[in-house]
Amino acid sequence: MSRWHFAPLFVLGLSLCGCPTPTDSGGGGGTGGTGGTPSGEAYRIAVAGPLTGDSADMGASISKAAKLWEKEINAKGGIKGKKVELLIEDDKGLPNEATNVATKIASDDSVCLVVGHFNSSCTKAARSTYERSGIVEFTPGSTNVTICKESPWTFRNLYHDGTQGIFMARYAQKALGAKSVSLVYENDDYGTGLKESVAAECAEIGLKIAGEAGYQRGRLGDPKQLATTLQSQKPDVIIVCGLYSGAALLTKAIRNDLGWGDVKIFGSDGVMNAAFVGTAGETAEGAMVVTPFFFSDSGSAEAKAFREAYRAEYKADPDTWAALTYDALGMVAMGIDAVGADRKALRDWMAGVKTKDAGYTGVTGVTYFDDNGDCPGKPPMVVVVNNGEFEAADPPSVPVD
Amino acid sequence: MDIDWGYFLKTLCNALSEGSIYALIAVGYTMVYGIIKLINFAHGEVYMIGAMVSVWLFVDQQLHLAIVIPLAMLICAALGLFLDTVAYKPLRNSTRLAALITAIGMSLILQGVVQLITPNYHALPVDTTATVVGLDKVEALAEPREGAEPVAKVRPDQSRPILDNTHPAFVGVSWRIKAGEDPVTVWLPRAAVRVEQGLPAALDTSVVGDVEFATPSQPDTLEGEPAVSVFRLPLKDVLVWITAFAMMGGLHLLVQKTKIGKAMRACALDQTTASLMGVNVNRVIAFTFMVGSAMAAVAGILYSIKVGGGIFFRMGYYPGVIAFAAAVLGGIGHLKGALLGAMLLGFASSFWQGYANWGLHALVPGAGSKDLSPYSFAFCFLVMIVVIVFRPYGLLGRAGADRA
Amino acid sequence: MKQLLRNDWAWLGLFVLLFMVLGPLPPAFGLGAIAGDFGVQVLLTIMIYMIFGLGLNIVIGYTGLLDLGYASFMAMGAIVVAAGLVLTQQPAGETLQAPLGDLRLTQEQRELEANANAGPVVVQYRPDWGYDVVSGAEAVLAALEAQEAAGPDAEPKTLSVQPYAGLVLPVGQKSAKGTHPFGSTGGFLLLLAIAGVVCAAFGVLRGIPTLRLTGDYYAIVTLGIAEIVYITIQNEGWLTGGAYGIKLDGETIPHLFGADPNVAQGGTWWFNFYYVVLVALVFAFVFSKRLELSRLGRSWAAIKADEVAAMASGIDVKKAKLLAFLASGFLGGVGGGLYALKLTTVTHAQAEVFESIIVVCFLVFGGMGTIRGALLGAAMLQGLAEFLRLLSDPFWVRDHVFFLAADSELSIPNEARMLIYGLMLVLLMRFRPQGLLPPRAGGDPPSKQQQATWRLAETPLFRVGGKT
Repeated sequence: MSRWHFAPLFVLGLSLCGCPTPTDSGGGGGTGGTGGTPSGEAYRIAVAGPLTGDSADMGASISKAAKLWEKEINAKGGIKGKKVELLIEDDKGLPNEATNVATKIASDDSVCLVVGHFNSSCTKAARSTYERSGIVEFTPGSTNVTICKESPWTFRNLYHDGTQGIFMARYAQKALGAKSVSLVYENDDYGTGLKESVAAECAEIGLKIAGEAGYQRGRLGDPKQLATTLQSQKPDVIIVCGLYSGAALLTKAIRNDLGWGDVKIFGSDGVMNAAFVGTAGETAEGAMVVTPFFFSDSGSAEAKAFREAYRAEYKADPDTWAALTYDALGMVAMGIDAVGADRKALRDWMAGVKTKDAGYTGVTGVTYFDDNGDCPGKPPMVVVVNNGEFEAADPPSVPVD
Repeated sequence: MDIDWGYFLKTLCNALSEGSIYALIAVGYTMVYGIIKLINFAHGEVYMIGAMVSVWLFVDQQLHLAIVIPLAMLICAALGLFLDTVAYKPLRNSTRLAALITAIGMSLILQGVVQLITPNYHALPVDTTATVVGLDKVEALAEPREGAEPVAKVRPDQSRPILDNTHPAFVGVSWRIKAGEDPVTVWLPRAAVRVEQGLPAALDTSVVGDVEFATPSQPDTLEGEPAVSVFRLPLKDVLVWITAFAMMGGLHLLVQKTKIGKAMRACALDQTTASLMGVNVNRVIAFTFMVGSAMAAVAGILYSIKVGGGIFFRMGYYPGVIAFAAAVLGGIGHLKGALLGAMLLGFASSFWQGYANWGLHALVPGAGSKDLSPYSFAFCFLVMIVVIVFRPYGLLGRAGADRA
Repeated sequence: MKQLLRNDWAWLGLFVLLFMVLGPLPPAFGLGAIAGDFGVQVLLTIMIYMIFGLGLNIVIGYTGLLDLGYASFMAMGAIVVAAGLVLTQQPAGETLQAPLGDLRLTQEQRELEANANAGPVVVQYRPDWGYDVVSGAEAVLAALEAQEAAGPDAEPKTLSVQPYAGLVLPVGQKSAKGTHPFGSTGGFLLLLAIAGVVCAAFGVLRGIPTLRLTGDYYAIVTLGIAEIVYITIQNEGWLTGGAYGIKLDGETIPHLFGADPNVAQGGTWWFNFYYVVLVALVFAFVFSKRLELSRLGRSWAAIKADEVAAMASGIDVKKAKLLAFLASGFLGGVGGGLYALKLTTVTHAQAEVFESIIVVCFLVFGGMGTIRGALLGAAMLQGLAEFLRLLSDPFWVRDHVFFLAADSELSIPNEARMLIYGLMLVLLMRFRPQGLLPPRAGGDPPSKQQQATWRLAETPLFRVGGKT
């Protein structure tokens, strides 16, 4: 009996002493934003995203693109002769997990910047931790409107949902000829925020909203009833503000179970993933999806080079999120090259990239920031599923302003 | 107020299907609880593994559904036996909380293992559109010309083919040979191609029958809309109901009419007495776990056929919790109670989803665009709580048989 | 040794000692923390979960009711505190009186602003480098020049400037008329008490319909209520922040003992916050220890042992149960309020049922029904979860496990973290189902002093309908 009593103490000691040793704590002086001293001879950049969980397919794209970038840049000799190491962290797509991950990253002084998170809810949950520790959070996927506006330490390299919502409403009206739309949304930051933005614009342009229906991510037990409800609203277009996993099941239920063929399905950029087509199969045909970027054959040289490299590495096509992650990392490398790996210096450098000329030209176009840290240079466009592949829709875009 | 009966019937049909699946999960909870008083938190994971295994057998191994169902049931029964032997049996004499924590631990372990094996399995398509077999022996043509020379041999294993049935003598088969490239279409003589259609794909569009209803006049209906509301009774839902009710009926017979069923009932009443009467209690408990897990496997198969996606490592948690609520609601330890409770919750969930917003706007004029649909699960729990508060032993439970 | 291991106070002492040794040292010494910055965060989480464990222990351990909905209290406490801080915040755009000397202008800003119109001066405050001029630099330049022209002896002028929207301004530095009512230590403690009271009230409210229920029926009803609370928090944005959550930032986080919250980890604020949490932990410990030893505590024990017998021997079971829910809810609210400051973003995720189950695991793991068990369970399981996170990071493993080569990529896959956690639970229950520190059969023996008190208090041997 008594020997057991030492076990808890031992394990407790192990788990507590297992925490970083004093060498990690950086002297504790408590000055914000002065971390980022690279340990040893490598620059460390953190990449955080949903490697597991409901949006794991997007996390997989992000981590693949990040690893490809790491390999390429180190093959080129790194940045300023130093190697680059990526710290890839999993937030599971859950806000509380994102906070834990952020705490871990922010307290690691060797990390100079964070590329992430992906889900808007995670980016927001982690944001204040990064802000208080003075480390830039550079998201390649979160589009919720307030993300960059509310923190000087947060940047992104794609449009935000204000733009996306306006765009979706106008596209539905002008390009798809919709007279009434139904809004389906995932009730997290991303889905709810985008839905509100679409609804506001619908009111603005006089597009009738036939109904709204929300569901919880990962808990869309039976999508058929949701589809039935939507059918009773008789919309011309169903706008889905959510992720591919839910959208695919809903699409399937609409097309297969209800045999409802004459409604157009218009997904937000969270649907932009090959897994959408993978799950929905044939029923995905004709579904339209908003995306910040799309690999087309007439694309830029950077895009073609990236696609080739990605195909050679993974035997699969890169998607939008892979490209955005790759670009975000490329831009960070440009920053480190310019001002070094100091966390504050990197923030100031990024905040200073305010014109197209000063911006970073990458796979997805030119990244530069406005006063909030939002990326004004990349308008949304629409793709359509044709023969199981995303293709540029006709028309690919409508004017937003 | 005019009622759209077509819509009502659709909702009813969805409610029955949802309830059927919950019922099959709930019996596992209720039987295990009835005998060893354990909330088997890992039961939802058995359901998840049932769905995974069925998709794996059906899609990847291309087995027939008539083989898939018993095989998946067998695999899950083995899993149930494993859970009982490894995790719960050693804890028979310790506190029930210890067993509960073990169940939570097993649930985490099963999720973790599945996640390690198949991190993104939910992306897997369940409906194989069609499978063309025997292509190795068949010569393929680039164009549908009768009597033309063969131009290429195509291996069908690269991707799922898409069929073009427009030509009378030829079948056009398209594959994407390499990811990212344009699909290659070849035309094969119709006679030389055996097309096996996946059952779910065949089910997707099949309909038992159509019922037409005159739709009540709706002022905001778009012009040109036909004034009939068609209710299609989908074969898929009918299959779900029939399977679920057949399974429940079989289980009822098993428990009421067979020797092992009698032993199960005896153990549920009093384990000590049962063991004195010569019942091998441990064996009965193991059997109960196996039967319950097999039922969960059927639920998993039905879900994967019905929804055709959304299969991933965390899918078991929520149906598991709802099914447990259903079991408690019906009176835990009662098979009929589990069925009743599950149906009630299935109805609560579907009808809330279908009618909550409508009701809100009919009753509260100033509701604006308030959306109540995310509350459908909350409504399920509310129903459960109200029933439990007013009938603390569930709908069919009796106060005398203290199951708590 | 055995006696010591069964002594709750000894365990509290041990943990407090550990927390003090490993935790942050006074920033004046400039030494940081032995556990490192991340370690301090882990220790904070452990302490807060210990408070949750102590709170839940009142219902599960003392009263013997399996509550699977404790996450509601944890989340509601956090929401009350976060909402209280945010709602009472001064509206943005308040004019700030900044001393001219504090306004800094970098060279690039001068260049950037050279062509811009001289609009309102917008500044951003950062504790480590003072005020940054974001725009309107020309006005500042002009004022600075005027000041220089006036000579060094002239009275220092102040300049009215607009805080940059969304940027951080320390509360104390705002214009004199509007200070944050909960922005001070006292205000925060008051808010924490409010959170506790709100959660206690919710506990009683939730308890009323469930009074008749026992065992697993009680468990599933609490789980159901927790799910309803979770979904409500997520969907009622006007009330709870909804899916967006409530974000606390440097402007809204209270100044603890005058320390500025806008500093990175390792600063005075974190030191103060750490000790606030530690004191709260000691408070929660004393609170539940006193309850355990009180008459009320013994009536809970009687209910746990046999509810019918307890009722028969004159204990007002309903009242005792409601008081248990009240006390448990109070600690949950306090812990949740502290958690809000640690997390800084409060979302519905805190109300997820899995969070409740985790705390139940702490209790069973440590030893059902004992205070020391709650402490140990929280420390070990939460510590384990965070330790596994470190082990899933190849850099950390490479840097800290001495026998690995410098280019090692060894780590635990992310997917396996919860698996290992689950395995720990199963193994412990398999080999030590009573938990690590179980209560002694028949409860801890009362001390001589307690025995004396009890004899005095219980002179009438039988009491019908007596007070509890």
